[in-house]
Formats: sequence, C-alpha cells, structure tokens
Amino acid sequence: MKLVTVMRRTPRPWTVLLFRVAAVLQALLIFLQAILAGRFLSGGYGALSMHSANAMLTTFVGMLAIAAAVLVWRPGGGPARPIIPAVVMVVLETVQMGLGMGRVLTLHVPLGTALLVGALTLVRLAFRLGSGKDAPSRAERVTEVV
Amino acid sequence: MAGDRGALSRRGFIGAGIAVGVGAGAVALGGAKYLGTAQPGRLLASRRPLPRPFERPLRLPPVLRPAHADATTDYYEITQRAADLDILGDVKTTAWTYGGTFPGPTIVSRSGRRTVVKHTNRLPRPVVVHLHGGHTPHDSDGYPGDEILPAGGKPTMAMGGHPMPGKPVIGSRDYTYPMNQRAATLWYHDHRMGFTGASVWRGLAGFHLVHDDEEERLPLPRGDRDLPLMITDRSFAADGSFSYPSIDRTLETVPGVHAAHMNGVLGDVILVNGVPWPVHPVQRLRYRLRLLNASNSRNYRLALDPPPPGGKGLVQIGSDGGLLSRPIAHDGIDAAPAERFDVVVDFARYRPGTRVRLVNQLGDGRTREVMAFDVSSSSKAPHEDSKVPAHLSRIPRLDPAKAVVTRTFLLQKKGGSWQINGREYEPGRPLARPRLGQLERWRFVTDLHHPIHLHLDAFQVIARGTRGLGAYDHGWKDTMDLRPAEAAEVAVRFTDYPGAFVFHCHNLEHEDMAMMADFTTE
Repeated sequence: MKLVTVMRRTPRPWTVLLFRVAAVLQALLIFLQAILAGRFLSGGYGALSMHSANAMLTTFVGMLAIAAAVLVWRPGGGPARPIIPAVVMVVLETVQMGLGMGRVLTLHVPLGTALLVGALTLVRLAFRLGSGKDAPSRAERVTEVV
Repeated sequence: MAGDRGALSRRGFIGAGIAVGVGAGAVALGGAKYLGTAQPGRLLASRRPLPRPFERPLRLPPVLRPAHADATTDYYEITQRAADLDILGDVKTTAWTYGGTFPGPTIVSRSGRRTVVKHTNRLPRPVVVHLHGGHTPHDSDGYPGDEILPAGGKPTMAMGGHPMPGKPVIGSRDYTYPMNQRAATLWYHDHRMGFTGASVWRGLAGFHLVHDDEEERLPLPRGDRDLPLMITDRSFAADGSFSYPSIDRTLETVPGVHAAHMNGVLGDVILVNGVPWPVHPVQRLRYRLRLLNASNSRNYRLALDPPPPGGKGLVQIGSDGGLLSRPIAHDGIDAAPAERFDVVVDFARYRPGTRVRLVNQLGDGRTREVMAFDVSSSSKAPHEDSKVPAHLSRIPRLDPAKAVVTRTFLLQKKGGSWQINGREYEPGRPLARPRLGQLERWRFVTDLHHPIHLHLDAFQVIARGTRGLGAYDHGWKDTMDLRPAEAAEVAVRFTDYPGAFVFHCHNLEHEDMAMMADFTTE
C-alpha cells in the first residue's frame, strides 16, 4: 500500500451532521411518497392528499439540504460540490410536483423513481464528507492515481 | 480509490439529472399525445366503407304519445322488437329497437305527474329497462333480476350460473315512474345482466325528457330549437349489421366481450340520433343542444369547429340532473358514457352560411367528426326570443361536513374482470346499506377510466383528487367520469324508496364484466 499525502478539507462536524440529517430525511420522505402512491392505488382514499402534502414537505427538506450543503462549504470549510446535486434535487422535485398536479403520470412515475436514486446518492455523498473519504479535487486525484 | 468513486458518482448524479431533464423535454416535444391521459376502449373496425360525413340530415326521435291518460298518470306503450333500419344508406341494419326506431321514441314527462310505460318484449332475448337519472322505486328501476322474458325465454343467470334475485316476467312489464324530480334530460336503455353492452349497441336506447315549471319560466330556446342529440359510436359488419365482439354471439349465457375489448368497444362510425355524421340546418339564433353520450365506452371532448369569435361557444345550462345554478361557458366539453350536458349555442355569433362542425377532440381520423350545423345564409338574422339568464336555478348544496357515513369504493381490474372493492357483481349482496334521507359521502378510487353511475338519486361532486370540482362536475350528477388513478368524492342522499338498487361503471363493457354492485336502501 502506498501512502499518499493529499491536503484534505475536513469540514466542521456540525455542518456535516446537518447535511446528513437533511439528506437522509429527504430520502425517507421520497420513499414514503412511493408508499403513499401505492396505498392510494390500492384504494386508500386519504393517501392522495397525504402524497400531495408530503411532496411539499419533501421539497422543503430538499431546500434545507441545499442550505446545509452551503453551510458545509462556508463556514464549514468543506467542498462546495454537494451544493449542485442538492439544488438539482429541489429543481426536479418541483418539476415532479407540477407533473403530479397536472396528472402527467407517464413522466411522474419514472421521475419519482429517479428522485429516489438521486436522494440515495446525496445520502452517500453526505456520509463521505468529513469521514476522510470525501472526494479530493481533480488535481489531488491525479496524485492519488499515480 | 473510494474518493475516486465518490467523484464519479457526483458527476454521474448531475449527468443523470440533466439526462432526466433532457429526456423529459424530448418526450414532451416528440410525443405530447402519449403523455396525456389514455382513453378507454379499443377500436373495432367496420368491414365496409364508412358512410360519408355531413350528407344525411339529422333526425329527431319521434315523441311518443300516451296510449291514454287519467287525472294523475300518462300511460305509454313500447314494444321492443327487431327492425331493419336505414343507417348506412345502401344497406339495411337489423337493430333491436324500442318501437322500431333507433333511438327509441322520446318520452316527455311533466315533473310531479306519474308516467307508466308498458314495455312488451318481442325480442329473442330477455330485456330490462332502466330509466337513467330517474328517481324510481326499486320495482321499476330495472334491477338486473327483474327481466322481461320473451315468450318461452329463460331468465339470464348471474355470473357463476345461479339464478338472480328478482321477479322475471314473461311478455310485458309496467314501469311506473313517479317523476317526483326536477326537469332534466334522462334516457332509458337496456340493463340486462351481463349483456347491456350488446343490447344497447344493437339499439336499445332512447330519450326521456322531464319538464317543470321552473325550466318553463326561463326564456331558453324551445320547440325546434331544443334538440336532443344522442351520440353513439358503432361498427358495422360487411353485410351492414352491427358488429360487436361478444364472447357469446347468441347473447344467451356467457356475458361480456373478448379479452381484447375488455376495456371497451369503440366504433368507427359516429351516429347522432342514429344518423352517421348528420348535418342540420340552423338559423342565426340560439339553440339548446341536449348532448348525451350514449356510447358504450367512448369518451368525447366536444367542441365547435370553427369556434365562434371570442370562443366559449358551448354555454352549459344543465347537467345530468337538470339545470345548473348559473351557466358555464366552455370551449369544449368532456363527456363520458351516460353523461348529459345541456348547452346553448348561439349561431348568431357566426357569419351567415358558416358550416359549424361539432367535433370530438379525443377522436382519431373519422371519429374526430360528430355532426355539422349549417348556419343559414340569410344575412338578416331572425328575431331572437330566447336568452340564457345569468341565474338559472337554485341548487341546495349538500354539505359534506354533515355527512353521517363515508364509504370508499375501489374500482379496479383484477384477473379477468372489473371489480368494485375486490368483488365481481353479485346480485343480492349489497356493498352498502344507506339509510333513506341520510347524507352520505361516497369516495371512489380508480385504476383506469370509470364513469361511475348511481341509481335512485343524483349526487353532487365534492372533490376530484386534492382539488375541488372539475369543469364538468357542476350541478346534480348521476354519472361522474373518474379518470385513471383518480380519487373523487361525492355527496349523496338517497330518498323515498327502500330496496335494492345498483351502482356501476357505465363503460358498458366494464359493467357487463362485473363492475357493478348492489346497495340496499332502508
């Protein structure tokens, strides 16, 4: 095994914790969306309005995840990159709400699946942060590959 | 190396996000028609050239005269029999008819005055008559077991092959309609267990109009400017007969249609009052069109083409259960099977000589056309004596907060049948026992399109999904179109008549393939 000296940014722990909580919560709520949709299609009448309310809650938590990702960067001192996927999630969640309200189910269902994959990816990113495994910058990676 | 994968997954994430966005955009641009709600049914193509549109004049069904009348009641007689009709022009079509015509004769009742219709069955199979939208006691509502058998005929068996509860009679039956209900466009049609789709397709449908003082006081178009329009789609075999994919061509024992048509049978010829794509001359005046979608499973989005200047050419004044509280102007009207929309069209908004087509924006090819109105070419409009008042009627609101009972019904395909709450229709086994006079909240959840119809009483739509009423849900309804994966709720109060009634999907192929249930009022 070869020792590589790279300069790692270790963000402040409380910002990382915040980001992780938001990312995990977002993923759980999106999974709950799928459960509520299934419940509704099985005839659970109230599940549809819960699905609608939970969509707004999910997007709100997604915004918290953006805020947490920003805090990881400043003042956290960590990388800025997680901000982008966090923003993409909220954009897609907003589109998803529009598709749902407009009953464009042909897109609503696959986008829902994609959002769950995205949410889990964000969770994975969050747990890499500060654990010494967060991604180094491109230049640093080159050193590592060598 | 772990860090390496992390970097990749982040890039992959953003890439995936962009891909979803671009993909969605591409699909939206390329195939917008596949994104919308799919329509029910499968086309059954005719085996002969289709008639040409806008060549034959619109016919109005004959108005039936009472055979006799007394102080309280008008008595009518209808003989159901096969008849050779001229639908296609060059060949006769053998139809099952009410009195020899399709649509059957129009019955006109006065609110509060009893109507008795004696139906005699000279058809080769049992029949059941249901007055759709009628506030009718159990005995005369056309409960599936209450058949009129032809001489020597046997009653239809329930699914599973056992006899149905009910009182089959041989020859003829008197249907007594108290008519304690407001003015409305009702219709009567066959309701035989498991064979309604085939019987109605062959011609068993007619209008039954109810008038009352309230409606009469309004300055709405009347007389020959009050047109009942029964819209149906049909397909024809090479010999000109009606073509329909029954499993049991004898219509004796096995109900329903072949699996390919289980989601509904669509015809490729649009008939209005039994005439393919008719044309009707109109003056530059207001006309009342009583639009009835009497098709087995076809949904229509009816619109005027060209629209009048300024649009909103269809001014809805009534729904299934009569007048709205105030008119609603539409560009198009979505009509599911069995729904009625009374609209006023002002042809004075068109230039003289315009051909105004009534089109179906949900149709493809020839089924995009419905009929045409040729506006008089006289440049001087005749005197207009009608108008659409801003206030039409007072409709007491059923307050859902006061509902005593809430019931939920799941309408779903399961295996080889259409089911309600996981069950195929079983006459005599009610899914609900509403108390008469009690306000109830009925909720429906669907998998696909299901126009739900309640017998006995009209209802008011409370909500569709997480929103309020749709544009076509206003007023008193007896049939509500539920779209795929939709939840909707209605407020209903059953009144006056105890006994067994049914509610069912009015896609007739769904109905025949078990999407029906009893409710028993007490």
